[in-house]
Amino acid sequence: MKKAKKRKSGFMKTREDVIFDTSNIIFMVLLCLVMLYPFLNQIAISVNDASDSVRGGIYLWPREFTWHNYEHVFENASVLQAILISVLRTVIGTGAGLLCTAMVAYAIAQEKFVFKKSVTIIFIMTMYFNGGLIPTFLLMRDLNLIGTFWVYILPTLISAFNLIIMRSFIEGLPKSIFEQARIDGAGDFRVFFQIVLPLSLPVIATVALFLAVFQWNQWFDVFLYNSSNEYLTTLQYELMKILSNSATQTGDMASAFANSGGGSAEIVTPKSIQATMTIVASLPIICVYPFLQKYFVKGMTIGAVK
Amino acid sequence: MQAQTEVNAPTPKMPQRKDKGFKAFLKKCKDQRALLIMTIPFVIWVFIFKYLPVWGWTMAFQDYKPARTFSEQEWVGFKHFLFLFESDRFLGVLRNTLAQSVINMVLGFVTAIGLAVLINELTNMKFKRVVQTISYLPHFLSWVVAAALVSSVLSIDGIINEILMGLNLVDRELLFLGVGEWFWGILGAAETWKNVGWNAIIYLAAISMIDQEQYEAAKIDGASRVQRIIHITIPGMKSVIIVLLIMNIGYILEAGFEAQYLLGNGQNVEYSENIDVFVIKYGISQFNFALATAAGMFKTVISFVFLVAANSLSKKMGQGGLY
Amino acid sequence: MFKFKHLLFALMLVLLLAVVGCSDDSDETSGENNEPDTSEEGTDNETPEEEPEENLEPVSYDFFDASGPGTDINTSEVELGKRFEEATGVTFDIEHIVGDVNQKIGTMIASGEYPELLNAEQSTDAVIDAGGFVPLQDLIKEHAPNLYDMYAPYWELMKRDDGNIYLISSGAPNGYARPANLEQGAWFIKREALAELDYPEPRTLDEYFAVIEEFMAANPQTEDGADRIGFTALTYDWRLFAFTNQPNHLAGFPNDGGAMIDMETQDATVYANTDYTRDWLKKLNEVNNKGLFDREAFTQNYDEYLAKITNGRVVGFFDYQWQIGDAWNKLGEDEDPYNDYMGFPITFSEDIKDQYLDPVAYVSSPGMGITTGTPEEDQIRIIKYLDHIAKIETQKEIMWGDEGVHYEVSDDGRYYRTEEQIAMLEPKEFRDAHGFTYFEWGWPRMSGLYDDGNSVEPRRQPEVAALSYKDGDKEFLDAYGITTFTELFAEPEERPWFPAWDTPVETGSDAALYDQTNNDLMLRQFPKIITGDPSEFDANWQEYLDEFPSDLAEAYEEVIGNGAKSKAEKLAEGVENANAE
Repeated sequence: MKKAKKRKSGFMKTREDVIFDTSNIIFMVLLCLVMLYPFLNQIAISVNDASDSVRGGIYLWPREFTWHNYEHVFENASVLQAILISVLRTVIGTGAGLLCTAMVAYAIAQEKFVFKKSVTIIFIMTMYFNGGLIPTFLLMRDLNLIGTFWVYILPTLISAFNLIIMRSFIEGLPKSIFEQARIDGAGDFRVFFQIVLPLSLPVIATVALFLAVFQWNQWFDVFLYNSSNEYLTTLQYELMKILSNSATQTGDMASAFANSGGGSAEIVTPKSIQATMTIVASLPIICVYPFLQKYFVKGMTIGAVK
Repeated sequence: MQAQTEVNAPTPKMPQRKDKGFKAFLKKCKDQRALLIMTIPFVIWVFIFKYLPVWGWTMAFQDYKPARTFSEQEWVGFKHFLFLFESDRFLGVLRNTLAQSVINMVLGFVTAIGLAVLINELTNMKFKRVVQTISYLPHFLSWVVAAALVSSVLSIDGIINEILMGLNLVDRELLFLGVGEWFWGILGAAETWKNVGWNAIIYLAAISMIDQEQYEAAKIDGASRVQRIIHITIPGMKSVIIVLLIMNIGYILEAGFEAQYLLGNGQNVEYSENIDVFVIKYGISQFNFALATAAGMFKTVISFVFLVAANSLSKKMGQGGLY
Repeated sequence: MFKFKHLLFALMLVLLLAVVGCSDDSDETSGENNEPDTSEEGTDNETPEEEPEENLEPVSYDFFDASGPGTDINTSEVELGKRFEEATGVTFDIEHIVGDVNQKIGTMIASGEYPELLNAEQSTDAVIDAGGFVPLQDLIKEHAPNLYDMYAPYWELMKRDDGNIYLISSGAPNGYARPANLEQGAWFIKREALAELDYPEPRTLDEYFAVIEEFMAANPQTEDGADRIGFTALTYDWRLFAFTNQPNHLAGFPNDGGAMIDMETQDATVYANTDYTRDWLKKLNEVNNKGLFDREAFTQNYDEYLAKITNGRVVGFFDYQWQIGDAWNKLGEDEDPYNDYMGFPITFSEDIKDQYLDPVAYVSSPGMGITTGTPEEDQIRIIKYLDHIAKIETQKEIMWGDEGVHYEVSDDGRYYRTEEQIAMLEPKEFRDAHGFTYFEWGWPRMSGLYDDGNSVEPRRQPEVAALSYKDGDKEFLDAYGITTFTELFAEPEERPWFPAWDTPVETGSDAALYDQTNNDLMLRQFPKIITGDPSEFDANWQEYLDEFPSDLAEAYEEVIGNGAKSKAEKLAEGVENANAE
């Protein structure tokens, strides 16, 4: 890698390069502003007094600073518990999903595999239909998965989308590598673990990210299968709960003590909780990306890994 | 069900080669037992978790009541399909679905590939990583938040109207969300803004699998930046692009519903309402699970038609296919 | 070879499918067998009933509440819940709905696995249809005398078509307590405008918009220099009803849903295609043409609507008070009484009596029910718990709190609260910890007045409401010569069917379809009609009428009309029965 970089800098920058780079950088800076704004805006709303936020007009800076929205979220005892479950399901779900997806992807990437086409088609089709809410629910019940942690992991082990992505990357690897390994007497498992996995780091990182984000953001399966099991709810679900709760709080206040002023009591509103929730729920998962980036931000030379 | 029809077709040819074929087949299986071990558990898995619930499709032909057992359900034939297809709004709803999904698909591909290429061209590693991370941030906003932001940016005192007024381009603020004809464009732009960074990730991964030596060689041959992009980077992503394209063409009737639901209003409903929104209104929220199932079946059939067509077209053009 | 292996593969899969499919079937039948089993067991167990001793053994049941969000608790975690546990030995694990009600309840029905106590909100009929609730009438008569007393006048109304009672809804009216503050719909005007125009009291729609027009002409901008908005409306998503209900109110009817109920014949008439709606649209069209109607009325979302009201740009709007709670609170926070709003009972003409205040209302569904699969022994424990809650002492404990702590009693028996008590009760944390928030709605409850004449709800007690008025409020009360803000409004007439919208409408029927279809139509056409050029008004209105689903409307009118009639009959019957006993 180092070598490649050195060589690169050895070339003179042409005029075209300079123009290209400059406009590219300007474009990227503008793009970043557009992409960053919503988050800064949500942060500002999340640390602004909820009652004041009703007026609107909060952009990048809070008008009446307060931590109350965050206190409101974290004073909820189940949130900490839920974070643990969220982390667990993300880690286990990503790990298990990655291994299973990669294995099947490897198999269906093999030209010689007898069931190559059938298995591929069987998985692809699952992208375009589903049996519906109630049949799926009954299946989970009959498999005794309801009320367990595994209902988060098992049904989502392999997504056809990730599988196909991974397969096409593996297919893109030079055939000579496999052939060489086989001549050396390596079996499929050895080829898979020792050659294909290390060579596919960029796609593994990509699929890991997809899986992790998917697992982290899920709340619907909690709603369906584990809502009455308070030890298995996830962060997203608990936040949804706090959010839907915030909608009544003020209505409740208004009806009970209309016109009493309400000046002293700090309230929360759906808007302020939504903003707080956006930050609380997305910051941890956003941080995953920079760690995975190193696997594909640089670009690699396949020759070098051999 | 689809699997069977497709795989069943070759039956007549079978008997003549049975013996020879079967032995050879067994031997092949034995040789490939490692691959079989790798796949068979997951094929079983996919059948249990994905194919088994498909019995639920029978609901589409019933006045489904969740409490009744299968034999007690009342069969109504194609009633729910007819409700869907004969509704005055169906054509409009179908048109909106197609338009929204085609616009989203085209914009989604072009912008994500473009962004991936441009990010790849950044020479400062740190800047590159920062841009990459920031560009995918909006993906983590829920549509509720994203739609609220879109709505406020487009409102009468929103920033876009302020710029237009400031530059004297219009003499009265534009009511962006109040003009039905603009909805598809607004939706496409919003989708792009929200997901371009996320969608670019996969292309970045593809680019990073390109052998760096190719770039070095091209440089030595005097290829310009743009030439290198066109002749190395884009072809390097080609297989991923094609696979994604075919998969997405299968999603021709999936345009999402949250954004449409949240940004839709009385003045743009003729352009915002799509199949999914329609199904929520007349299906789920009326406790009519059958309508949702019927719509789902319809979408699946269309998906398969488009998928197969796209796949064979791609193969004919020598670009390889999905399967 | 290639084709053959495909076939083999398919065979394998079919086999697999068949195996799992069969086992699935057997599972379902065995699940069904369970139900009769439990009920048999139940009848066997009749012996313990003879025991005179109350069963106070601690037991906890699940209560799934789809009626709205809330904090999930076990009732033993709050003061009131602890007291009820001491009295009955029962606690409840309360779970509130978070996502879509129909989906959640749909899975419950399909699997036949219910929590012991259930409020299924809009899916209630589906649960009843599925046989998910047990009949309660015998249970109540046998084990819950207090509960029976409270609901006796409504006994016939509570019965479904099969003659069984499945639900206990919250709020059994006992007399009428006039609210001191607006809780429902009104046409609001900014107090600033009222003060400047010397406290006008608009009665008709024309007068209402004349006030707005006059004020707007003189004050097109706020002090901060923002453009004022003459009249705005909330049309976002399901909240559209607050807009489309307007002609109904203007014609002098309370919110019975999409239809007006005739006082004499109790026939239901849909109003969305009548001249009432036409006249109202015509007025709005005219107002829009004068530039007084918010351009963004049809594009703004709920937050943007609230923000506008809170920012003081809006001069007038119609809404139900509970929808603008957040904005109302914010405006009330400061000492400026002029940025607040005041509501008026506007009608089409002077001779129409307004009906903005809700009449005494009994809503029979949704409510809580005990589900099948709950053993009879437990059904009794639960109904006894509910009976304990229905005792008048418990009712006062839940609504008012403890005498001397949360409220005081004057010499003539009137309940009131001191300023300190009001302040103490204001923080939600306090009301949560005591349990007020968990028990004040959803459980068996009376509404209106106690037999001693005190208001069931403290906020409706004039003594409590009076304390909450600030000087700024008093300025306006004095100027209009009233003591409470609802005094401008006419007394509600007796409408035993009210609200007619709780009539069960069969899912998938034409009547059910009318609601959704007409809503969609209004959503599409009203903006066009209102924002169109006045010269095109008639054509636009005609276009709307042409699309109006008349057949569905007739079905709807029939269902709602019959519902209103039978409700009125049953109520009369029930009151007679209750009096006779």
